[in-house]
Amino acid sequence: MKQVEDAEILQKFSVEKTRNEAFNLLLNKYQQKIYWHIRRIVIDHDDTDDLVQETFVKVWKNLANFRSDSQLYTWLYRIATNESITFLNKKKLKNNISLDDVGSELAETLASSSYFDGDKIQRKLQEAILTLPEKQRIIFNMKYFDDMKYDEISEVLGTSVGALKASFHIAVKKIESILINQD
Amino acid sequence: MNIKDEHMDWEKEASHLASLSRSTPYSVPDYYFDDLQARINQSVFVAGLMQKEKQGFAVPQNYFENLSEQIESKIAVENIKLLVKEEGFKTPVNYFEKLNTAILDQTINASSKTKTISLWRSDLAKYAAAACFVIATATGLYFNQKSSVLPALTADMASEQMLYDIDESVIIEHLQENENLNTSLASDTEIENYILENYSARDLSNNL
Repeated sequence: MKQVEDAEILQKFSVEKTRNEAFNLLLNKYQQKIYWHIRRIVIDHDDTDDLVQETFVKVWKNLANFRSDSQLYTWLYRIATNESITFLNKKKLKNNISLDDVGSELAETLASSSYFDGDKIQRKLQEAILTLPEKQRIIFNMKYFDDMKYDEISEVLGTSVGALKASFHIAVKKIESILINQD
Repeated sequence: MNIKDEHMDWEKEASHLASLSRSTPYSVPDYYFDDLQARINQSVFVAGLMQKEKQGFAVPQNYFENLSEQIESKIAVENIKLLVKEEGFKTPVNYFEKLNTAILDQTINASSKTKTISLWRSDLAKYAAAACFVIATATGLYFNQKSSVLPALTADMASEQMLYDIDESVIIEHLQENENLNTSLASDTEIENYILENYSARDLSNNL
């Protein structure tokens, strides 16, 4: 299926008659990107599945108010990121775990996940990523796996490009160090 | 700066990381993405229904404006309760046991005693008393009115009876005398002269 431009999706969404069609075009274009973005943050497939649906429900409710001063793509990522962070915060409260322990909790989830088909090195990489602080981890994922530009990540997270560069640099050094030392 | 340039910054410093495959090693259940779109559409539909349902509810005016203050007040009250566990008031020894007994005596246990019904507290007695008062007042007024009319009536009847008993000639004479008395006020000398002229000595001796 040919993917349509964001402008066309927004134009169709603004018309009552073509709103559902526009939303389906948007889902078709972005659902997998959003899924993987969330999956890398919360690790568990079932949690991701819930969050993908919640994200797109929010998109449906708020797309009419979307202003084109940011890209649709980064706007969707921002909603998905916020939903994921909110979910993790709730999980911390529910399981009474500290910020530092979130990574180890997620590492356990990764270890017990039946939906992981990477090799030993890839598992090691994921475990190394999970040692990063939450926001640094999200930045790393968006830069490393999604090849997003710093200004796009800046739009998603509301953080300056300079701060993002610094954060990503620290994350890379830490992961490299873990990978080399454990080999 | 394009993506390639951005990557070059770190790829030099982290060559091992840069050499790894950048594919995500996670997997999804079979055919997961085939029906994801349909499930998202269902979620959107359900969310729409829930939103419509919520719109049926309403809150009092300015409810949310005061809500935070109310919550803060409630928290403050709870904190005070935690700090000051006892109020400081005391009751006499065994007060509540006695209170319990006293209340039971007046309520449940009271039903076994002989029931006393106060006559004056019933509505029927009140209405009967009011009716008696109205009747008594009306009767009093009636007789009072009648008694003020009766003496005048009795006096009139007595006067009439006296007039009936007196001879007509005496009445006429009396009236004539009065008339004369009113029309001419004669002196004693004139009266004497009149008697002497009109009556004989014999008449006078018979009448006097």
